[in-house]
Amino acid sequence: MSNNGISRRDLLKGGIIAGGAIGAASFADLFGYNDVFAQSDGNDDIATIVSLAATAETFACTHYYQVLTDSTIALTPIEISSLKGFLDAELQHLEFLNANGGETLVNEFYAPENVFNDREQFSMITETAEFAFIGAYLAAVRRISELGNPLLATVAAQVAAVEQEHLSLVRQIGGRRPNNQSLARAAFFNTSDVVPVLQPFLEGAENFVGPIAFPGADAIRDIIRDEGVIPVTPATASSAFSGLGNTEAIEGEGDSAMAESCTVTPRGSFNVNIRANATINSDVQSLLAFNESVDVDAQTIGPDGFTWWRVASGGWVRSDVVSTMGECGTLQSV
Amino acid sequence: MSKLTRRDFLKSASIATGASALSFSGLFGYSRVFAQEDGDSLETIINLAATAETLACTHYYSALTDGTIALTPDERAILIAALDTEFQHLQFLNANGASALTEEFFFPLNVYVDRENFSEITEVAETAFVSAYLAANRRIAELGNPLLAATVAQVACTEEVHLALIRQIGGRLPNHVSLAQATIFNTSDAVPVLQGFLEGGDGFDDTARAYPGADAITDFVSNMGVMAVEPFINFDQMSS
Repeated sequence: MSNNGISRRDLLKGGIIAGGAIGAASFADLFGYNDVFAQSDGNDDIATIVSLAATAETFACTHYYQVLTDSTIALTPIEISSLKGFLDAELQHLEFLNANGGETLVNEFYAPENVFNDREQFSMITETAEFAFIGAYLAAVRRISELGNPLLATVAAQVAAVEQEHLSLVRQIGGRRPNNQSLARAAFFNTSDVVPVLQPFLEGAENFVGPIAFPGADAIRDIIRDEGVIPVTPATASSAFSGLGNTEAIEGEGDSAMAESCTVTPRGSFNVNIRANATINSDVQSLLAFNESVDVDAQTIGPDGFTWWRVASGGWVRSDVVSTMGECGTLQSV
Repeated sequence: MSKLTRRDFLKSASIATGASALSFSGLFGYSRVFAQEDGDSLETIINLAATAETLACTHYYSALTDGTIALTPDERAILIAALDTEFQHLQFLNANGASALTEEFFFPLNVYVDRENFSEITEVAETAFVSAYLAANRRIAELGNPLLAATVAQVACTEEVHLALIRQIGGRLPNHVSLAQATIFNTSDAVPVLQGFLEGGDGFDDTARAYPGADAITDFVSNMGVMAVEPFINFDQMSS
């Protein structure tokens, strides 16, 4: 445990105490949103859920951006890639919520001292936050189902599953076994019940520092660059439910039955770096635009453990940031 | 053909999806197993889920007890935890009236001797499980059971973790998607992609592997299991 005295247990205890001692009205007053928290029948409405979720995602973006840009933790290249994936996923969640009427309640947050300087503390505090997010999204599944919107309930489950990934992998960063539960933990009955647990991050508390401002979508995209995650269609979209056989489009392995060559294209809506050598430490010699593709003619395993594709016209792209089409798996290894 | 790839699976799933539900129903002799005209029934969902969990238990048990892949101690611990998780899911389903449709499964050749193959095939299966549980979430919500809908979401979350960790075992970035993939509308739509495990075929071992049973799994997991988490349907008990 870190030396500053704030532990995951302290946070949870603080949350429980806050939950018992502070009424919903005081939180509503605190943020100036009278209709934010559980409604008079004791259950959240959709507007409450999406705004609280947007606040949580804004907080998560700020948290992961901070560890990637202002941390002294000696993260490995794979850990950095994973954290950029977390950050991109949280940003995509936030943008979905904003597009569906979610309003972030605060854009500044507080963090425990040393959380970005101590690996173990970062892991434990982030696990606490992700635990809260998962509980909030599972409560959203319950409530949205109750409100008769099964597709939106499924989207909440889609998000919860990715947050559970984050929780597991951040445990691993802290040296703990990543998969330690038989089920995701359902800690809350309503999404608004999560607020007390997150209270120190929203308001500050003893041994917390801040505020730290949400960096904004542009700044986040600048550091994610070509290391984002694949945008997956939410269940509410008309293009959802394409069939399991069509996941190859998502996974980027394209139907190659007629293909005789291999091409790659960026997986997300970001440009991809074409580097001089098969390592992220080498120079960027050009960019592959998000809507373009290039032929590749060979592959290799880079020092980071990832497969890299050799662009036929010169340079290398890392396999996890591009989709492939054609017989790429059989390309020569060099 | 000695090695089934992820692509082979997905391609066969695309083809199989074109087959009628009736033919699969006939295949297993369960006339009420697959999607009803207006969507899966609760009975269909939990029976298919129990079948998938039985398959998953058999798969992870085989990898741990009969595989030659040089797993690290951490990787073994992850797979033992995955086995225990699937087993707890199965017990929950069985306790709620589910019955697995079969307890014998076919597995691709070399899946337990080749790390990359193991990772890719398991990713296909876990992707199908996640999608099946998300479809269950949708349908159960539609059927008006919000607590059970949230419970299947709890399961989907842990299957998504397995998917991520199995990608990591194969040397791929574990967290690669913005959302868990909801690609099917009904749980029964997952059957075609799992067809090879149920029937065998080209690229699969001719000999089926039997579900090892609860005692064998419990003995094997020993004290390396996962924390038993309460399902959402017991929320009152959780908060008391």
